[in-house]
Amino acid sequence: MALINIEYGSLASSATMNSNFSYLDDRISDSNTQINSSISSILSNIATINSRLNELSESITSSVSTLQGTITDYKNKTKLLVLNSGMVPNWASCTSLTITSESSYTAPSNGYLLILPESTGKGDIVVNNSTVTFKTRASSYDNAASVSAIPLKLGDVVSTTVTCQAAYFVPAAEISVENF
Amino acid sequence: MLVIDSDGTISMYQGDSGEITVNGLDETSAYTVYFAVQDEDRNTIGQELQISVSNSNTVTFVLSAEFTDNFVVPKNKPYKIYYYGIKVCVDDSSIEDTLFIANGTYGDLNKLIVYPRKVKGA
Repeated sequence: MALINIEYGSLASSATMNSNFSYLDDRISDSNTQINSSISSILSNIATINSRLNELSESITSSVSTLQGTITDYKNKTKLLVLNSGMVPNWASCTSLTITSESSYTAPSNGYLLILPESTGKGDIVVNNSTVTFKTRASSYDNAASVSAIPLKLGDVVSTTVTCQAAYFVPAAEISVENF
Repeated sequence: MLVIDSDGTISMYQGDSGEITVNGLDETSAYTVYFAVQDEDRNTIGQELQISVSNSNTVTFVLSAEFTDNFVVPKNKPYKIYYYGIKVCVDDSSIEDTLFIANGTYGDLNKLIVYPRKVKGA
């Protein structure tokens, strides 16, 4: 069946008109079926994409959870590594101090005591009643060998008979997970 | 609502909607999956549904109520049996495979049993 062309201004029989209407009705019905099929296809694609997105979302959530656990684990491992490797100087808290044989210094925390003797200085350093004698310097280049950095624990007591040009205490940094 | 038996037979009312999920596809490829329904004379009802997807082992066909309206049941019959098929075509490839449903093999017919609508609805 095909659409019958009716010449402009001519009379058309009801059979011709009904045939055309029937043809158009069939075409509309076919188009409707195709549109409905297309809509079902589109909905199918949307449903599949949605399902895929849900899978990806679950996968990402799982990965993030695993990653967070790994990061926390590495934070703790890094903290332990630093703590066990040695003391990290907290230079921002470095303080100048005076230390003599009469005026001992008690370490307020774990840290380092830096002593810069005068160039002609001679004598001993006493740490918790243990005496260490300074090198007897014969040459000017021995002066550098007399610069001392002494690691101290909280409560250690230090005194010296050497005249110091300067002395500093550098506390060890408090290491925590939040520092990393 | 659709009911899918263990042998892959689908039962439904004309004009009802439902979803058919196909699992076990190759998730390493991009492909298009087609779903077609035929009558006893192998005339395709409506158009074949198609889904394009990549890297997914699952696709979901949505049979809308308007689509299943095309599954007409003769007035003098309690139901009508249609037949469906699913085909996977790998993109950028000549690979096209018609799937065996529920461990079926060549010659098996995948039935779609349609019962006449009871309620017109929306």
